[in-house]
Amino acid sequence: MDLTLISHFEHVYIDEKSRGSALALRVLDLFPAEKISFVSEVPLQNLKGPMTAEQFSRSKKLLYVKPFDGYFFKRCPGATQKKALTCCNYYVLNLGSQCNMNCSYCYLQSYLNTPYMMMYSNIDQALGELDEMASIHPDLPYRVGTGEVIDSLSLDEITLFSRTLIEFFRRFPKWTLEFKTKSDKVDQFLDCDHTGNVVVSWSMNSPEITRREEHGTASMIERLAAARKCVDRGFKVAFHIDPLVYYPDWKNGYQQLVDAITSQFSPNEVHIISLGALRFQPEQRHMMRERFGMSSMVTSAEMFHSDGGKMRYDLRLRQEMFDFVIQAFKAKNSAWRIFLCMETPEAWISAYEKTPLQVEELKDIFRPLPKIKHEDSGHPNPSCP
Amino acid sequence: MPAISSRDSDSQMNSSKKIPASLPPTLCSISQCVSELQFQTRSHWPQSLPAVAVNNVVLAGFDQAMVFNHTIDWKDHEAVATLFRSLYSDLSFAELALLWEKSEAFDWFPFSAIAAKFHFQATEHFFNVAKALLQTPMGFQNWCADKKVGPQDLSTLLAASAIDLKPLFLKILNLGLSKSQGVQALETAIELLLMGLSPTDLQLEVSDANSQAEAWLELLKQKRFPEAFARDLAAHEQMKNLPWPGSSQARWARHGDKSGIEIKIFVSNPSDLKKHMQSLSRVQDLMDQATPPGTKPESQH
Repeated sequence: MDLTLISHFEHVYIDEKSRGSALALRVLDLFPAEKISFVSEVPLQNLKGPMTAEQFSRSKKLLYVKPFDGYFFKRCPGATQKKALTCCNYYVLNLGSQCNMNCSYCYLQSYLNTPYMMMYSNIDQALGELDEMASIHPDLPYRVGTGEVIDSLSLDEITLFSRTLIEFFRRFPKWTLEFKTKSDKVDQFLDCDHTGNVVVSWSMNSPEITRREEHGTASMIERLAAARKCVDRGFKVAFHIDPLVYYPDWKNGYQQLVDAITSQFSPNEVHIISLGALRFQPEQRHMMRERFGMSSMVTSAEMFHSDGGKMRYDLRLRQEMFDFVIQAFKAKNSAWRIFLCMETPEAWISAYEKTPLQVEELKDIFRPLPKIKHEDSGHPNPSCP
Repeated sequence: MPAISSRDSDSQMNSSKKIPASLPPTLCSISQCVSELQFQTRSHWPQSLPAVAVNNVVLAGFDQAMVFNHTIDWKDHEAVATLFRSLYSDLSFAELALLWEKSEAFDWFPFSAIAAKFHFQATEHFFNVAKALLQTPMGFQNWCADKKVGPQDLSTLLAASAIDLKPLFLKILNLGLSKSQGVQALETAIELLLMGLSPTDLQLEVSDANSQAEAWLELLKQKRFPEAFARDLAAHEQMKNLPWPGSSQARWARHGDKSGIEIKIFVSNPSDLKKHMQSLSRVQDLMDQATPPGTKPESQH
């Protein structure tokens, strides 16, 4: 157990409704009593309007354990912007929100508005939703990720959610469970039996971007070492090289990353590699500027408004960066499976000269699947962006 | 959190209640009231009207001799806010920032409820930007009031507390920039200063005529987006040497994250169109030869 995780949090609030949950009991076991309060009402309710930079930074140090009230399970936000983005069939299962790490580009800075990090104690309800969906579509190849608004594994030594989910997904071998992390915390689930449908994925970047922009995360070498442990235990691994960040020595930096991946893994050991370029909501720039200054390669980047409303690099630069990384992988071995994440059809066509459904090795991932039940019913999902 | 926010917390409870009838105002000398709330506004109180006060605190018409003094329960935030709103047809963010500064001395003053009446949400961000704005020269605050610049437009100030922005404010005022020009210039110039460029690099100390505003804004853009600017310039040079059809106009243009060629063609008969299409086809061939696959400029019409 990494004790810095415990010291990272200044205070932990546990909702009375979560008192007897496995998560609350584990938190009580791990954290010193003076850091814990039981609350019957939502703490720190005086927040009005969007969070300031200072409030956002502090929210990373306060943990609130509570039951989640809405639907856990929803589509990846990229799938809701079909006009602007070409997106894969990805479903997200949010078991908390906020992150204990601190990346300068993190989109949570324009997304979250709670003055604490949340971990949900009612994982049983989440599994119930999955069970319900499984009763309708047990054989469709759904991909379910837990790393949309929280890192899947950075606090998993505390929650042990990974063990529960891996066990659950053994019943549905055609479905895929994906963890996404920037940590190297994998030891807590390596002994779990699985049916080969668990993908442990890492958000990766060049060593320089990792060091300068991904504060509090594991280094590139540590992440790859953790990935090796997973492969050795039969788990699939994936790498999300996202966001590609432009800086003067970017080609050298991303070549180092490609060399590190390709020297330690073979294409058949890596489920998929996805690429995405730096992007963020326009209003996020103020918080990033306040929190990270203008020496950051993210805040000082040359960004422009794009069709989907986000700020992005010039399309030609994005195309150049995608081409470079794809070619760097393909030069090592043409069998690497690479796709673009949260990108426009123009960028796809530039990189592949076709859309993903026309790329043989990717079309299974991008083929539309039936919507899940609460999407059809129009049931409000309180956490939907 | 400023005291104002907390003291305002029960205004929401009051807002749902019916406003209680207050006593009719009494006319008295302004010397019997306190005028510490006096803040600068763009509009002036009519000379012929007495000032207006609530519970002996003047809200408007601070320079008048007589005052209509209303008696309203201090806790009735909605009633005080409604009275205040009736006295000012419009208040900008900059004016509200001045009011907020003055009102800090009055624990009862329902600032959040009043801000809401002028369509502002008194959030922590609002107060942070207000504090930053109040540190700027009065001339810039007046420009913000005149142009109705909002707290979101001024968020850039929050990252710039350690740098001297007076030359920048002066430049914005001297060039007579519009709201959108000024807000854009403020953000771009502050970012450039934070990135290490000097006031000289940004020509902040050069005095210009109003007509030079566009050129200065273009300079800021070039400094903030140097690589995109260089790429666009190179593409423009490459494009302008191509054999465009005689009566057509072609120019390199940027639309957000995309740049490409805008072509205007005038045709008066079908044979002209055919000739133009053939000429454009030749241009395309030359462009294909000049650019590697995957980097073709998109043509935009």
